[in-house]
Amino acid sequence: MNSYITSIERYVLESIQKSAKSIFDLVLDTKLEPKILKSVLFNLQNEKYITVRKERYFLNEKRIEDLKIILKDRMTSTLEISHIIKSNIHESLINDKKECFQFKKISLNKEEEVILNSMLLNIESFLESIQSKKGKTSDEKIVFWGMNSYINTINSLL
Amino acid sequence: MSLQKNIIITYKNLFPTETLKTTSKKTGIQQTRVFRIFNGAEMKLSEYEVFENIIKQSQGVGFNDFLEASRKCSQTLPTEKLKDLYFQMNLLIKNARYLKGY
Repeated sequence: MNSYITSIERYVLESIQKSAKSIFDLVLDTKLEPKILKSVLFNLQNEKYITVRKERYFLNEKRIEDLKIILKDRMTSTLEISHIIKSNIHESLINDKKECFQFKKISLNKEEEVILNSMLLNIESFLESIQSKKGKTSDEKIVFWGMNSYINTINSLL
Repeated sequence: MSLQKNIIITYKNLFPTETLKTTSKKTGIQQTRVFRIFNGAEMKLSEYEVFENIIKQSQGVGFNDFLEASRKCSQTLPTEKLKDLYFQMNLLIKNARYLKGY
């Protein structure tokens, strides 16, 4: 059995986790192309992460603990998140969708750094306050933020 | 699958709407000969190399470049980075398969 989950598999699992769904419900909730969705569902069934009862897909109770471990695994999460960010960088730089990813290198004095840190903390608090809201999976947004010094970034690349 | 069949499939996937005339011009191989090759006639080594070079140029990074880079990675990179690369490649393969519907 695979010990990692791709972003698209997680996406489908999250949809099923909200409530058991038929394939029609899944298409509506995820907006995935049926051909791709069927392929992901087939694979998830093979890995026994999901089961089917009366044409509805459920998370497999017997594998929920395994799934939690895999989804929380740092290596898997790092890879998934970096893929997601990479795709947004591509959208921004290659497809000109600037709203997908913004990036700046700047010099800050102490006061400016305090202001920026406080703004980032505000973003974090706001996002945490609305995190428990659940809606259609396809309508959810992915937000990323963060800051690092230039030298720390360069060192971590080595 | 034979090397010849493989290269013809790769070429046709890269240039799906190309006419025989254009292929003939690009490869320097006579049009009727291109037709016979695409329909199973055995390729000469020189013809194989022509197709291989066109594919390499079109793909940017060729299969051999990729294998060479993989070999260098396995000799140069620490285990953690190799593990990272391995997982990344597997994720890409999985996603590519989903896109194709299997």
